[in-house]
Amino acid sequence: MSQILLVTGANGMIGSELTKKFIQEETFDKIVALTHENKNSLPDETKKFKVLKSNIVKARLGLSLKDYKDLTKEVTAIVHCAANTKFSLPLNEARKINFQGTVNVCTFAQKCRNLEKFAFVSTAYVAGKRIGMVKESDLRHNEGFINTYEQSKYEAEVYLDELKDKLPMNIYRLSTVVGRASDGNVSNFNAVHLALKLYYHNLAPFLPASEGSYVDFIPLEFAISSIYHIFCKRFLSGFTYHIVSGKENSLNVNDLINQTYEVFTEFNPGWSRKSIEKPSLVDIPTFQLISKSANELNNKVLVQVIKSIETFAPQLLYPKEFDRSNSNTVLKEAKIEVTPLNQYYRKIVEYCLLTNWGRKPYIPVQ
Amino acid sequence: MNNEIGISFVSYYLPNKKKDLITLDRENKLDSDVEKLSALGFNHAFVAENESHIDLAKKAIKKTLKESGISPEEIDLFVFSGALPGSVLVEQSNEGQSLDIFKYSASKLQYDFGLNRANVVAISQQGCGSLMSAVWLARNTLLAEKKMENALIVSSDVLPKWSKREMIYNVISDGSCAAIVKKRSLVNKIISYSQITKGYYWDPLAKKNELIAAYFPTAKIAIGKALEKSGLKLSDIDWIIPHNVSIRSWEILLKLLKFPEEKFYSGNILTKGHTIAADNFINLKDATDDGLIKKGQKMLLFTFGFGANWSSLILEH
Repeated sequence: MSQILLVTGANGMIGSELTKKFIQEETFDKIVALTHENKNSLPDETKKFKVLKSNIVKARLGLSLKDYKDLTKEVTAIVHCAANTKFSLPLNEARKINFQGTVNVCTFAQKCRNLEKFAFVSTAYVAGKRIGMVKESDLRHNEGFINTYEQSKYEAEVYLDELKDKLPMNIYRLSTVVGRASDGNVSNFNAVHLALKLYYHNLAPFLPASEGSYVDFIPLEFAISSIYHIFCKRFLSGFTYHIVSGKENSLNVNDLINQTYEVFTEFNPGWSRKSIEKPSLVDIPTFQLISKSANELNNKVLVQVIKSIETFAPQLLYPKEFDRSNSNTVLKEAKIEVTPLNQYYRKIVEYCLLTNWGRKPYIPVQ
Repeated sequence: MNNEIGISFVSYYLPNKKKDLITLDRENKLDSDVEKLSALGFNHAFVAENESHIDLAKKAIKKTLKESGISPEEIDLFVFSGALPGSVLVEQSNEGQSLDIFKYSASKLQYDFGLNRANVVAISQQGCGSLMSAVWLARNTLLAEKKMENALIVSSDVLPKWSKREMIYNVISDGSCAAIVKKRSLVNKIISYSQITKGYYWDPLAKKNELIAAYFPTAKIAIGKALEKSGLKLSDIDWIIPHNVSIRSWEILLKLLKFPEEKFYSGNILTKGHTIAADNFINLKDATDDGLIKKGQKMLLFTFGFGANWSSLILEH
């Protein structure tokens, strides 16, 4: 039987890189990529690679009845990457793709008579405001969430948990993907990059974080090679994997701020003349008071700044460690190791500066 | 610092006319809504309607000399500080003689009070930090000049009639404050002073949002520097004597510093308001008169002035 892979969100940061990897490795006889918008980030279609415009929020995933039915007959593997990764969406908006979209993809998956594997690309931060050790087998909690992305992905995982006996399933929980370790390329500027931009523009005086808290970022290459390896080489239904850096490969928040400061200064000596202070680390009540004041003043710039920061940074006030027992077991054997953040973080910051956060083409410094 | 030098007497003067926020709003003197300013802790402003900054300065100086018992002849140094350009001159003249632009306030006050032996200096570009800078200048001059014993410092500002009374969410009052800085002062010995000036923000209108963002982290650093110079820890400080720029800004700064609210002198923020350069010293005077400050207690004064200057002064009562 032909091995046919369906990838949702195939034009997203993870989806597009994974699709390229699957094409390159020729693991499947055919790959069908579902995209919501343009397909610029994908290779040209071939006999073995097909792109279908879709909308997973809609019934039948926004596909024609014929396409939908044909796919249920032929698909043997699904990697569900489609997600709205914005942290600042209203909950009902975040739920549309992240929860309802997942429900629709699962409905489709259950109709695939030859389905052998289903993977859901999730986030390690479904752990929300939990603190301490988070096991890969952990899911349900009542600690709350920092943003609607975390919550909607959590709700999707809870839904998937009910289907674990019905679908041959893996869940890959990624920490924050900040860019490529090799050259610092950022294909998806997220809240972390926006925070760097605010700091560069002297608008990030506060960071809700506790001293010594560390920031778990992973490079894109590690995310892709990990998912690919586990899904293609070591798929074992019912398992969840934390694809994270771990404390030993991360930087604590102070080191991160210091390195950022150094790169800004080296990149633009004029920047240091502004005497911009490093952000002060504050607790939640202080940050809430600042947020309240900005709102009362109706200062649109400051309100926007606070909103941007509060959608992700408070996670630093809930120190947690992600257990990697499952992922370590399967990644170590393949010698897939995460690049420590201090080896590539500067490249990421430089890329942001050189492209003005994606507004200019990237021209590397010689 | 030589802790023999201290601030021995303080007096101040606020105009009789007090205008509440609703009145100021009606007169188009505010940019923000009354409710918003009220939520930040503003209540009213003192407005000098028929008095000049010279009149205000005279009232504060007269009280200080009288209460201190120091005669004008005993003043070795006179420092006049005004945050506003209009305070530099006795009066503004649009089409008078060119020499009118040299009618300095400091010299007139020296003459009016007969401070004949006093060297005269003026500070004009420290914004609301100008009186604290005057303390620093007086202290350093007394330290350097063996024969000098007493300095009289004064700040006095009256906003021009055309000006708004709100500046970046601050409601500003007219007022004056004078003090004697002297050797062998029995009270308020000057322990340390720190100042951070960030010229990048010289244009507060153009850099408004950045300036607001910079305020708190830089305030924390300026206070830290004053503590470091004094060899004290924040926990050694018995009182923070604030500027009166909004109670909310202090709530945030106190949280940032992790300093207990009960050791923060907040009594004047609502009642006296923000009088440009005089706040900290008005508060020092009132807190002392209220019997709150005990002998030997350490006080930390902090202020910010356009310019942009973050200043902190540590005193021992």
